[in-house]
Amino acid sequence: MVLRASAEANGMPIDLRAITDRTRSIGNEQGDLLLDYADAVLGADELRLRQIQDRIIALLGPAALLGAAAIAANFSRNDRIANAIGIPLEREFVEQGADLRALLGIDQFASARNTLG
Amino acid sequence: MPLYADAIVPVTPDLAVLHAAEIASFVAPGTWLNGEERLACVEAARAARSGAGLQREVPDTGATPADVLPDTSLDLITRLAVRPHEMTRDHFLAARNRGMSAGEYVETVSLVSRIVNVDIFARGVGAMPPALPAPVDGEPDYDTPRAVDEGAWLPTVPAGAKGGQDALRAYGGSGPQPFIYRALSLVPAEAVRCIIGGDAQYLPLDQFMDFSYSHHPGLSRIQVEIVAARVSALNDCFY
Repeated sequence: MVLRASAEANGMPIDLRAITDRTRSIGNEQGDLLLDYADAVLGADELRLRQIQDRIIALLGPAALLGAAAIAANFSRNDRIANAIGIPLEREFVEQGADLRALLGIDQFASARNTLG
Repeated sequence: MPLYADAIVPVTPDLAVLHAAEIASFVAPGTWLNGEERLACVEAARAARSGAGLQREVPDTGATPADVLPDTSLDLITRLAVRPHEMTRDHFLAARNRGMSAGEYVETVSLVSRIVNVDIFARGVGAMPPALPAPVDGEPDYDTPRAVDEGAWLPTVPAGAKGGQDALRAYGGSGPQPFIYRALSLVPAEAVRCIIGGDAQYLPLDQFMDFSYSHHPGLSRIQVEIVAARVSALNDCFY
């Protein structure tokens, strides 16, 4: 939902469905590359990860790779904490994000029960 | 050798300092676990992730988590480190029913989540997972804040005036806090580390609603959120 808000605020149309459906493009090469990076850094294929890291450095620069690593790390931590402590999503976000969750299938996540019951 | 000297891109001092502090915290006496037990938690998480092919193996430190931690802890650590999308209330209740205290559960969850944070960052910049030092002697401090049921599986310290001095201790301020920063507050020292990590790796909380702001010079805010959203989708994290 924060992604949608930031895209709208910056006037950049993106296809949010690409977040959960990797057969789709998010709408630009850099965004798709960052999705590939997230998949690779959480995955097990070292060679694939290295290829994507090199492409990020070439296309977006070294600082982009550093930032992407920090974000992937930070949310890997947050997701584990959220899932293991069973925290619910804040009420205002539940209401605002209902349409987006339906679009992306997020209500089907096991951790959705912590908020939706 | 400096931390992340083997990375394929330069690591800025703020992130290197953050991660050095994280590593030191893993082996220091905690709130409900001592240094040896905390090190065993992070070693077990690393072993589980290495065994699943999710990260490079780290040099053998000789640690044997199975000699230090009960099976209940090891089961939780393995699931959370490797398969966070599988974490359900039933797994939480099973851990509690098998004798894990609320404080031990929160501290273990935090340690596993934070070592995964460190190791995914290392992997993300093409570096080896950092080495861990020997455990520091000392006893846990058994810090017990006043926490209440705010809707999570475990009590949390309310933010702001409702939380009083405990909120100041856990959050470093008296303002509102998102649930992700209150989640670990039953163990205030772990909540503090989570917030410090978020400030440095994502963005300072007071910049959250400024969608023109990015904490990372190489990425726009939208690009930051693309990575964040995909990672959370892979981890089946509704929050």
